[in-house]
Amino acid sequence: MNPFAVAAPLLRQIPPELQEKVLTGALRLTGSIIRDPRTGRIAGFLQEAGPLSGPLASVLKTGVSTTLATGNPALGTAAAGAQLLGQVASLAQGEAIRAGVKRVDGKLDAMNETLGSIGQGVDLLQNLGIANLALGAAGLGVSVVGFGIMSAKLDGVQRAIHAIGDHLDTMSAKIDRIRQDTIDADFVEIHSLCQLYEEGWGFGDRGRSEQQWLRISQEARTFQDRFAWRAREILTATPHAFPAADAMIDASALASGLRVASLVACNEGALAASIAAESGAQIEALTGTIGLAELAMVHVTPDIEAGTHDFELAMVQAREAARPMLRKFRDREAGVATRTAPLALLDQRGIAPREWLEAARSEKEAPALLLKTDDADEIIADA
Amino acid sequence: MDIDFLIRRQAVTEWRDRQLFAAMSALNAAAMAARAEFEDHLKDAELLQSLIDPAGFVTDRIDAAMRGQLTARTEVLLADASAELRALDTRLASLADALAGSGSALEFPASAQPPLQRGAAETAKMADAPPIPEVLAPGLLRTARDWGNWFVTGATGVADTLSRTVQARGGMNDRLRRIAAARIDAAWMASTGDPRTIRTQLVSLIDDVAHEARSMNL
Repeated sequence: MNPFAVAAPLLRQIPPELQEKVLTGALRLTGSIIRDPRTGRIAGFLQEAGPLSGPLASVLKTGVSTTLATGNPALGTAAAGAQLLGQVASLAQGEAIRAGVKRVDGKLDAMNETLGSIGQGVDLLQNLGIANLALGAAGLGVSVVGFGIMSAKLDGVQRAIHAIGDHLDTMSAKIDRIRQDTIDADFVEIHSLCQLYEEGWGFGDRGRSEQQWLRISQEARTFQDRFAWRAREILTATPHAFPAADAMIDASALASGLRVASLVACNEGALAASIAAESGAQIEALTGTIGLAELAMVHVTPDIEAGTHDFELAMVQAREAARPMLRKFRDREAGVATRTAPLALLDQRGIAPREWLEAARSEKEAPALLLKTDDADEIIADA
Repeated sequence: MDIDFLIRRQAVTEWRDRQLFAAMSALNAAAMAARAEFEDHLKDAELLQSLIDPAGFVTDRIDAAMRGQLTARTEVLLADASAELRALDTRLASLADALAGSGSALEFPASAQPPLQRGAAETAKMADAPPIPEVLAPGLLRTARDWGNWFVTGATGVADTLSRTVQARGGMNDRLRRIAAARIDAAWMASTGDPRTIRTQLVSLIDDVAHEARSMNL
C-alpha cells in the first residue's frame, strides 16, 4: 500500500494554481521548498524521482562540453538544464507539454489524463525553473535517487574538473592535494561508495542493508570534508578561481548527499537532518560571501578606462556574465540546506524516511514529486 | 541550517552586490562629469600653466571636479543603501543608521581644493617659473614674468588664440587628458593604493556593514 495515498497525497500532478503562483513570484522556490516569501509558510516540498536518471546522463555531457567551450561550469549546467527539458518533454510527445502556465485552465486536467504524469513533471521543471537544481550537485530533496543519477552527477563534476585542468595544474604547484591524480582517486572511491549504497537495497535482510549504509555515511564524510577543504584552499590561494572552487564544492555536495541518502535509508531521519544542516552551513561558509561583485570582476577587461561609457558598459556586461554562476551558488546553498526538509512533516504523518526515499526511487513516470503541506491550499489561495 | 537564516544571509549578500555596483556607477558618472568639466578648463588653459606643471594643473582641476560631483552622490548612495538595509530587517536599523552617517568619514584626496583663484596667486606662481626658450615661441621671446603680467593684466584675444593653437598643435591637450584619466584612476577609482581611494573606502564600508549584518543572529 502506498502510505502517501492514506496519509497525504504525494502529487505527481502539480496544481496549475501552484505553478502560476511560482511563476509570478507569489510563491518562491528555495531549494526544494515552495513557500510564501511574505509569511514564510511552506506550501510543499519537491523531491527528485527515478525518471530523472534517464536523460540526466546525456545532458550532463552537454553541460561538460559547454563548460569546456566557455570555461564556465555554471553555463554548462544551464545548457544541460535546457537540454534536459527538451529530452523529458520529448518523452511525453506532445505540443501541449511545452505550453506551460498558459494552459492553466480546465483543459489541463483533461490533457494530463491523456499525457500522463510525465507531462506534469515536465511542466513542473519548466514552470518552476528547477531543471538546473535537479541537475546540480545539491539535487532536489534527498539527492541520491538511484545509482544512475548519482553516478551521472559524479561523472559530470569529474569532467568539469578535468575541463579546468590547466588551472588546477597551476594551483597544484601551491597546494599538494589539489593534484588531478589525487582528485581522480577520490572520485573512484566515491563512485564505489555509491555503488555500495545501491547494492544495499538488494539485501534480503534490512539489517545488513543498514549496516552497509551506515558505513557509507561514515566513509563519505572524509570526501565531503576533503573536497570542501580543496575549495577553501583554492579560494584562499587564488581568490578569483571560482570555476575550480565551484567544481570542488559540487564534489563535496555530492558526498554529503550520499551521506544524507544513506541515513535516510536507515530511517535515521534526525541524524540525516543534522548532517544536511551541517553540510549546508559548510557550503554556505564557502560561497555565502561571494557575490556578483566578485564574480563579475573576473569578466571585466583590466584596461577599460574609468570615467567613460565603455566602463559603464563593461560593468553591466560583466555583471550579466556572472549571473549564472551566482545563481548556481545560491541554488546549491539552498538545495543542500533543504534536502531533508519534508522529514519532519512525514514523521508527523507516520511515514518513515525510507518509505519517502523508496517512493521516489520507485517512481516510474514523473521526474519530480511534490508533497503538499496540510495548509497548502490555503497558502496557495492567499499568495 | 535554518532556511530563514540562510535566506536572510543571502539577502544581505544581494544587498551588498547592489550597493557595490551602485557605488561603481556613481563613481564612473562623477568621473565622466569631471572629465567634461576638465575639457572646459582645457579651452581656457594657458600654455605656460600646462607646460610648467601639467600634473599640478590637472590634479587641482580634476580633484575639485570629482569632489564636487561625489559629495552629493555619495550622500545619496549611502542614504539609499541605508534605506534598503533597513527594509531587509528592522533589526538592522542601527547598522543602517550608522551607514547613512558614514559619508562624513570619507577621505577625499588632499589636493581636492577649489580651483586656484586667478590673479595674485597664479602671478606668484608664474614669477617662479623658468624662462621659456625662444624656440617654443619664435619671435615672441618672453620671460615667465612677462607671460604672467600678460595674464594678470588681461591677455588679448590674439594671445589666447595663439596659446590654444600652440597647445593643440603640440598635443599638449591630449597629454593633459591622459594625465587627467590617470589621476582619476589612481586617486579616485583604483581598487588599491595608499592613501585609499574613494572607491576603496566605499567598498570597504559596504563590505564591513554586510559582514556585520550577516554575523548578526537575526
